[in-house]
Amino acid sequence: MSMVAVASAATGLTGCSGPDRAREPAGAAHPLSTASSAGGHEAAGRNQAPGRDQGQGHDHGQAAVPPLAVAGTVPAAPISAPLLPPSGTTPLVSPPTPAAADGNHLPVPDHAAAKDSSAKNRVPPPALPAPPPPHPHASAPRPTFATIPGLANLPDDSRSPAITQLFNAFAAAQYDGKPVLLDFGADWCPACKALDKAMQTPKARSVLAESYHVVHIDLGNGDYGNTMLASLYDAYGTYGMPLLIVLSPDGAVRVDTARSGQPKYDEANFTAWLKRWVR
Amino acid sequence: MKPSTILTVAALSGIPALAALSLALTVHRPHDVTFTEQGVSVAMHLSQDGDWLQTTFTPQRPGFHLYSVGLPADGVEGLGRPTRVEVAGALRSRGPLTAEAPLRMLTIQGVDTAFPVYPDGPVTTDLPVAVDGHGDAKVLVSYAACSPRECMMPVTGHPVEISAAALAAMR
Repeated sequence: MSMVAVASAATGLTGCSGPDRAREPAGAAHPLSTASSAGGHEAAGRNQAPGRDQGQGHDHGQAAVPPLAVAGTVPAAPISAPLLPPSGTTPLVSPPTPAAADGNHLPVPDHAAAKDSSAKNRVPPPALPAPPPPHPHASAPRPTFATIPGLANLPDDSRSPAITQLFNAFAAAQYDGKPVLLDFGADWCPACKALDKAMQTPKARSVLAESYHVVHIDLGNGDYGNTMLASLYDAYGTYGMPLLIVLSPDGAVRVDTARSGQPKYDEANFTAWLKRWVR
Repeated sequence: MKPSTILTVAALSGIPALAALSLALTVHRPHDVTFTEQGVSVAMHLSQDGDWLQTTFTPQRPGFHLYSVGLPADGVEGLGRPTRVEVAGALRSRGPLTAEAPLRMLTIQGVDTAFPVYPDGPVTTDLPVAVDGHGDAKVLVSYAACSPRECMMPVTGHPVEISAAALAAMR
């Protein structure tokens, strides 16, 4: 989670620029390292959390449990008890105390009393902090292509980098519960450029960073895989661009602009639209 | 004289009957070759004298327009896609593609560039052609329909095969 947060903070807001919209560039071939930040944009080829590997070393399927040894609270070692003779042996006889110069006897150490008092003085180890409550989605199994609605039905030859990005976004979404926003568009499309600008407005950027996993998918180059991905939700020829689809972490469609209509691309209206579909 | 010009003259002349007759020449005729793709219905026919290939583009949804035939292939600053009609085979073009519809410069909120587009709704283009020999013809149609908030996928080189018989029937 900390790595995800770092990735989000470092790169989360840089994926949606207008001129270089980063619509799933052809070179985005790092399926395991394309970070799905906790709250940032999933621009292809960007937002790379170095070393982040969704499939290894960080199992999103288990609840995070803090380590038992918390820094600064090392359990206190027990007070050393005086040596006692083993049972069955001849008790040691304390040598006679040397007479004090003034003839008074030096006090005899009361080992039994010392033993009793050490037990009373022993400080129990500090109680372990209670583990945080499990994340609502922490127990969800890690998604696979077979578990994300529709992806399993895609032909193998259509598995474009954008689909891998979508998969990674779902993996992150199932961990943090944030919805996934699919943004299908093309660089020749004036309305898509208008949307790009709306996404870059301060309020919209804030909502996107905090509340969504965004996947930009380029339809401008006729990429077969990307077109197939869009066809999972809308039949080819029935949708225009930009096509915005908000998906719940389980893949359910919350809104599809091919059916609901396009939001307005000014900051206020677009931000309101984003907030509406967060939950 | 192009049919669309006849329509214009008839309308300006104020002669209703003549205007109605001219209008009839520009709507889909029984032998029009038609197809629908990406939200636009396309119908084409040859003028009776065979000198003009007339193609009517009709967006199926309100608020959608097509881009100018004069738009560069890659649009303006990469935005927009032109309307194109190209011929091959038994048809040969004799000049540039034109459209009678007036152009307007469209600006979209958030986009600094203005685009030359036709008014929302149907637009008819005229391509001067010659029937070059016998046989089949091929027409390649390209366009993109957009509204201020949405663009349909562009159609690039949609092929329309026209047989010799159909070519004759289209006149």
